[in-house]
Amino acid sequence: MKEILLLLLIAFSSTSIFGQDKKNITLFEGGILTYGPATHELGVSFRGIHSVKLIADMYAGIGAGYEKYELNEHDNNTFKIIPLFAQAKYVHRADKSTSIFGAIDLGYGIGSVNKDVNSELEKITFKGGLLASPQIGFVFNTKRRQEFLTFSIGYKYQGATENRYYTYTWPNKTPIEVETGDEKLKGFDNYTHTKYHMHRVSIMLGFGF
Amino acid sequence: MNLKKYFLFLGLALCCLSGCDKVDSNTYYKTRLPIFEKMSDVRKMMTTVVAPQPLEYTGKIYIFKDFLFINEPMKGIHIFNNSNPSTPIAVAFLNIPGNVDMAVKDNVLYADSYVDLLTFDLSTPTNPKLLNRIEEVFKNVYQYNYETKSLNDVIVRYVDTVVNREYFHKYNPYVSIKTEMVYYNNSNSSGGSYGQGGSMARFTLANEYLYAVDNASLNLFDVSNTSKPSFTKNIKLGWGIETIFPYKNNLFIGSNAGMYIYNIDNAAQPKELSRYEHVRACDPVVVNDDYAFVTLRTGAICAGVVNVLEVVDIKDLTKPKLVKTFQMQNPHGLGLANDVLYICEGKFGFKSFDAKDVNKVGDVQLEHLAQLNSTDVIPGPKSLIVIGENGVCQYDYSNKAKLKLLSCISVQPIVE
Repeated sequence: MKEILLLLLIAFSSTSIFGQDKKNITLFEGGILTYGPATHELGVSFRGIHSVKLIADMYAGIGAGYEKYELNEHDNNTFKIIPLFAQAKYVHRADKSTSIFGAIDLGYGIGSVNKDVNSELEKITFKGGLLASPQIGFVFNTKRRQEFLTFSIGYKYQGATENRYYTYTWPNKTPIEVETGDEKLKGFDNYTHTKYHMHRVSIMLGFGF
Repeated sequence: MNLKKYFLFLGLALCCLSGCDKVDSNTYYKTRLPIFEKMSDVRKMMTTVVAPQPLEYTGKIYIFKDFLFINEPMKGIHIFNNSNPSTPIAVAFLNIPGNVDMAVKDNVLYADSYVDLLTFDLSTPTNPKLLNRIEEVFKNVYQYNYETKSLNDVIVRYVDTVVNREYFHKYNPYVSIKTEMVYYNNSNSSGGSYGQGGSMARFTLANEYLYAVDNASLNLFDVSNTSKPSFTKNIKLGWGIETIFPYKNNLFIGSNAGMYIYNIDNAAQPKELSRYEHVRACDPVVVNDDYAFVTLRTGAICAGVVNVLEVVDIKDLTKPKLVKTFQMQNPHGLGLANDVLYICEGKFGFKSFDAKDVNKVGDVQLEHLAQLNSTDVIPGPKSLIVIGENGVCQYDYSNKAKLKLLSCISVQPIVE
């Protein structure tokens, strides 16, 4: 929750800097991150993006957000990510009531918001990774042309890393004594470094002004 | 709006796409790696009698006349002169690679060596002589060697090491997981004179035959010619065979799913009389004329879920019936001496029970030696012999309700 509040604060403070002329736009989006058309293991995504009109129909911006990736294949894990990214966007015929756009996000997702585990038998730490997300969608302008709604579909890649050290406690098990080669284990019996390459379809609804 | 249609089409196409997770894992873990050896090379190792050695680990026990045999798993047999149980004297160590079990008849010792059965002349117990070797009779001992991809090797020892394993897989909730192992390696270069065994024994002798169980079958050896026994038959029993206990002309074979009863009136043709099934657990068994006493225990190897003593009515050997079940702590081997039942409770000690009334046997505890780590017991003619992780202790059991310690042969810690 504190991550969401932090992002909202960032978003609104940026809004006051950019002002409300149409050279600067602010967009808040929320949606789902899915493996496909059905609703298995849905993740969620919330983000705020500030863009500046560079040339006709082209915008560049920066954004931040909060995302949850469901990783049910691995002990029902949920990976939380704070994405920080730059966005390039092309809006075709922005003067129309309904326009179409294409955009691409590139950046880094911070994974340290995940709760580390640190016990006698287990230690888990998380890191984020690179993100990339091309999208296409529609812009629906209001009559006042001060606000607009968006609907977009995109592909999303997010990297993430988990480092897990753990020791099994089995009854009647003779401890395994290793003289050398266990430097990586840091006193535990097992160490697993796992790199996740998460590929999702994003479906987002947005409100901009 | 051609472009809009194009976008719409792209959007629909995207909706039909399926995302996935690609997961790269790199795991380092401590494990006990087996060291394989070809059986032909194992046979070249000298099977010799050497001076008495310190007892490092305990396996099975066996008594024959005044001699006590203690198996050191996979290494050989310690031989003690036990004419005075108060002062057993180590006389020799018989070095037998891969030895787990043994039995003695008419001064002939039968012992396994991985897949082979060896026969020794015990006329001079301080210096047993190898008489014969029957090769390839316990083939279940062979292990698949993942390095040579062959099934002709045995595991001679284990080494503690750290193994590195990398694997990669894709995950999508709509399709099953496909796992691809990339590599697996070691990053840091396991009508004669018979003797008496315990309830955990896998060898027993009766009617001129040696009956030896392996994990899945009963093997018969004709030992009428003591110097040259011959393998005669293998009877498939099913997986999880653990122990064999002879009583009169019947064999009681314990498996982790139940107890088999075979009649050996015709010693060469054991005839199955019945099967008594129980929940999955390790289950040594001892019997008297009317009842079988079966212990079921939990543990990593047994995969059991109960720790109990079962009393089974075997008056009709073709229809064994459960009489009563008593809760235990972690029962291993057991022994029966007249009306007293002795139960080894592993790290929970050693217990004796009054077995006069089988409906109350588990409730009438006579004694509990809580400090005596115990796994098997032989009520011998001169002493009650109890083996456990810490060694072998002998007790005077003339007073059934009060065991009197005579001696202990302790395990000597290995000093590297």
